[in-house]
Amino acid sequence: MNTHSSEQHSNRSIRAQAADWLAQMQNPDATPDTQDAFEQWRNADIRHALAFEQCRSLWLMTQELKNDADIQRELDSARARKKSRAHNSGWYLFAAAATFLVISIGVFFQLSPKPIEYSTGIAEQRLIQLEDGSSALLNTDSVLQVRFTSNKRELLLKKGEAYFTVAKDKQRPFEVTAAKSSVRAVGTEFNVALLNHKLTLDVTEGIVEFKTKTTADELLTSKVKQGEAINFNADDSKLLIQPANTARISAWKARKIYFSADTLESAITEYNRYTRKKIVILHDELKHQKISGVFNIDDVDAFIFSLEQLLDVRVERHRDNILVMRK
Amino acid sequence: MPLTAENLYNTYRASLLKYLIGMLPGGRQDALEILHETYIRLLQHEDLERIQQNPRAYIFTIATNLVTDWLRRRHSRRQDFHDSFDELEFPCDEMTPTRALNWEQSLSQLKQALMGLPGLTRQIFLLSRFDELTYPEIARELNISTRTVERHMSSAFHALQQSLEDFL
Repeated sequence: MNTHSSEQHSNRSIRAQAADWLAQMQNPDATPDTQDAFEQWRNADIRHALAFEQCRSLWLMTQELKNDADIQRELDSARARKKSRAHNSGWYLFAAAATFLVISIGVFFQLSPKPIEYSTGIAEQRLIQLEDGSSALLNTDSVLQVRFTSNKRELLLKKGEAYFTVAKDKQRPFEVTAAKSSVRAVGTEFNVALLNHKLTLDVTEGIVEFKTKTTADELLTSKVKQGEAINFNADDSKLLIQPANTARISAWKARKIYFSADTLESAITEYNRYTRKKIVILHDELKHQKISGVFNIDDVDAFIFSLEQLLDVRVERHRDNILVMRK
Repeated sequence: MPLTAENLYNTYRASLLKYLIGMLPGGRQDALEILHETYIRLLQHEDLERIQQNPRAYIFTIATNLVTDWLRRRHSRRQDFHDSFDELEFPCDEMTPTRALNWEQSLSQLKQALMGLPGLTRQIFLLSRFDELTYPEIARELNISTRTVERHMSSAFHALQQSLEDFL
């Protein structure tokens, strides 16, 4: 009993110290001496490190309250207080203009319909028939929002992968957005995947227009034709047209995964999209071994068996993971 | 029981999962991902002896580090998203059933803690959090010292900690 309460007491005082340190470390003017003292405190006891990290998470979690009405009201009153002290009249004009803008945007967007959201779980696939006769086949672990208006067919791939078959409608372009990129088509077939901040577009029929922005905010555009593909990483600065990987796309549409001299690392990343129990490479030197073959997405056992047979690795099954390690 | 990564993990798995579900908006699935990553980090750790003294704090620290990375990435991704695709066009903040009740509870407790702060403390916290004003900027605007801003921030953090004391 006694030890329990004294432990609680010491946890509480560690937390108070962590709150103090975080408050100090968020000051951009913190001196190097303060920094050193902080490092010393943090390294002195693992419980210090934990309390500090927790405090930092709480700070980050409060970001999610940004759109809460009560918090907004309090923030407005904080701004007002600041303003009244600063006697800054220019701010009023800006605020008035901003309010007007917000209101007009609000009115404008209320007129357009709400997007409909479709999603798939891990290892699930789903064919979505759209009202214009187009369709989208959603692959594993994906989210797609669809909104059609009288002059536009807008789709947003929030994550994952989808294969689009687009019905012709010259009056209403079909535009798929994923991260900072968009693909615009009139009538054609193409595949879009947004995985690990990398966007892949493969065109299997017709022609589309691809648009994206670099990190330097430069706009890049390119026409992509049947049999061509684009792989775009968030930090790329130019577009490179490559041959489309049609074998991979036909494979996933048939619930299969296709590897052709892929590295073990990329093969496992791909396979993990379809499994809850994740496969993990424990030792870095194994990552570059090459693997080829066609595997069923529902049969992780067969995949693991092949890894053991084809490569120089040992596989261990744990409760939550499958670990691939050196022999 | 020998001190292995697996034993450590199995000992703390359940409490860690509960903890993670309360700190991540993505519900059980995201929590499981972080849980697995924590395990991998433990496995890769060569020197388990060092953590013998306080294994719980150690494993929770690994997990919490991953949580802060995750939350940070989430916010920066959202920033990107704002640039390219107006959020008004495609609101993605709607509640989905995959969101854990625990996360909603955590958020509402954090909110209560902020609303319960003395007015000046709350305003300083909100200006720093949402308007991203620095301490010297806040100090100048409110005509107080930077050190005072720091003290208010510290007491706001402390209130946040207390609001989630049960599971921290």
